[in-house]
Amino acid sequence: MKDNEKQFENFVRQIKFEDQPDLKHRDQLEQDLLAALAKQSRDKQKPFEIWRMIMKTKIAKFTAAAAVIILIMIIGVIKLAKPIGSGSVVFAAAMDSIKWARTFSCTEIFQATYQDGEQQGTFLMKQRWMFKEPDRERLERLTSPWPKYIGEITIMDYGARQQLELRPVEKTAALHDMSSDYDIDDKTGELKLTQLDTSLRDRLLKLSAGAVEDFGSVELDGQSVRMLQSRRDSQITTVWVDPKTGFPVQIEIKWTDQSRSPVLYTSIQIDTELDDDLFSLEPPEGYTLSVEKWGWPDDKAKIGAKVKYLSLWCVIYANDNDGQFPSELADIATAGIITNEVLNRVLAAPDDPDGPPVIRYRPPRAGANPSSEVMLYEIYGQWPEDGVVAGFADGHCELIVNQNRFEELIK
Amino acid sequence: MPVDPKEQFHVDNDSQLIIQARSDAAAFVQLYRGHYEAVFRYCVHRLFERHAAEDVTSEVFLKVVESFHSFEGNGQQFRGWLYRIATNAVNDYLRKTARRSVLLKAACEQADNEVAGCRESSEKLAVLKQAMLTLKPKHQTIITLRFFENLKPTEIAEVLGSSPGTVRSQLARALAKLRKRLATENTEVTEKF
Repeated sequence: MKDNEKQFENFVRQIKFEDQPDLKHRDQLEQDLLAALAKQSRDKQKPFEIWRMIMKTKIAKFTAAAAVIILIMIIGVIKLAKPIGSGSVVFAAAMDSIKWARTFSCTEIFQATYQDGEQQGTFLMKQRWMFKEPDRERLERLTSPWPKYIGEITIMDYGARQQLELRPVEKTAALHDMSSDYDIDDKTGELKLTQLDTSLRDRLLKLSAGAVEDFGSVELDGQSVRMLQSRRDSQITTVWVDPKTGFPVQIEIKWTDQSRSPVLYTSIQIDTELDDDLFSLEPPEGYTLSVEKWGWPDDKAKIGAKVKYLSLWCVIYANDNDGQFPSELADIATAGIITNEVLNRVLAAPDDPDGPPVIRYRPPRAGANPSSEVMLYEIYGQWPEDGVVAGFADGHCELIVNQNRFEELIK
Repeated sequence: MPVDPKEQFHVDNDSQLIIQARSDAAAFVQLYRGHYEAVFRYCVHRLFERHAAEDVTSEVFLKVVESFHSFEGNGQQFRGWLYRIATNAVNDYLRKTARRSVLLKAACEQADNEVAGCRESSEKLAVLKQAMLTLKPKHQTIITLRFFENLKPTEIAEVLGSSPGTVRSQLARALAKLRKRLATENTEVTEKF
């Protein structure tokens, strides 16, 4: 423990708080809680009676997902008629509805920064996300600081291990082989092939816990919706729910810290029919198609994934420490960014996760150009025929085939 | 780091109780009784006032009843969740300006009285109270969780939804600010900190 903390701890030890609870208050509160539980139990019974009615009718033939959606609608309709206090049930049901979705789409909007050479700026980032489980996703970049990227569409089919990039402005299409596209699980350090990313949905789910404030009915895009809010420390989450479906149609996350830009998820659609054509790997008519093979051998791609994550963690460390990169990689574990176990696993060879490190770190030198400053590289004895993977201080990664060039870079 | 067997028992017991409490009011009451004191003490340490702490403790557990169905976790996570609700409730309470001014005014009066009476512990308490209430809620929360509730940085991180590294750096900043505030309140008391 640091000196400052130790001193304060000693200081606190000398203070006596009047913090012994009053048993009368505890017992009275217990009675209040029992009354609240009993009321909650009575309120729950109504929708389940209706649920039993539904199950007896033709609707009982629906799939489990459809039946659950109906339950949400019933709960939503009953609860919407009640005053404040029932908002948390609608809120929780709205957030739960995302969890059951087989498809999910929304438009994400936030203020983003960009760098183009010496030029820096901000712009309003708007992108439309879609996914269809188990293995297809689509991203449309609706805005960009660079005109040629406006409208760019990326379609990923994790089953086929292929990615299609469409640029409507130039009418070009590029089909990429993703058979060696790897990711690191930052909780275990395990290397695995990239998979459908449902983390957006999962992030929105985590917002359902905590206190809930009900603002009642409001107008949103000409539609009457229910507005609910939750607060968690400095984060304020607002959810707008369609009273007919019980589904959220918009979610805003903002922070009381003014320097953080709010994020808006709008035009949310849950479990709607998303045509397979939206995820087709066939480019539209009139597009010039190029087919890009994965340029790196598979074993180098694996090292590349490890180097990218190590670079990311070093940048996070620098961000938390006034721009100072770690003096050694163990510092990122000490800082709690990852555990030692994860670090050791990521540093080890892909086919020997408990073995010795195969990647070396050199702290970036002060004043060096980040795009040409090697920060991480693959350890080698004799120069490999395929070259060596190197990670740079700006976060990019290269497979350097020319030994002279590599030695020049790390001089 | 080895876990205190008593603490581990408490956590394991809670995991069972949480499952039962979803459908059994008696189990919920047992869970409540197991955590009432900790929540009340946390509120006292944040608000420095018993009656305010009792009010906020009531609010916390009523919110637990309301949102219990949405909690999905084990005994360990329950404690973090409870502290999060308590932190939000205390911050909401303090955010209401009039209350904060009343508490601050009471703290000043108490400090004057205690300094005059020269009872060391109470004097330090009054000065600490005065200094703490002028800090931002986030800093008050971190200091209270670390030094009064004896939570580890990883546990505090879970309550606040941040990383242990961030908690450590925020704690250092909060302590530095508190030290400055204490120095302006009473140099005699703070010579020892």
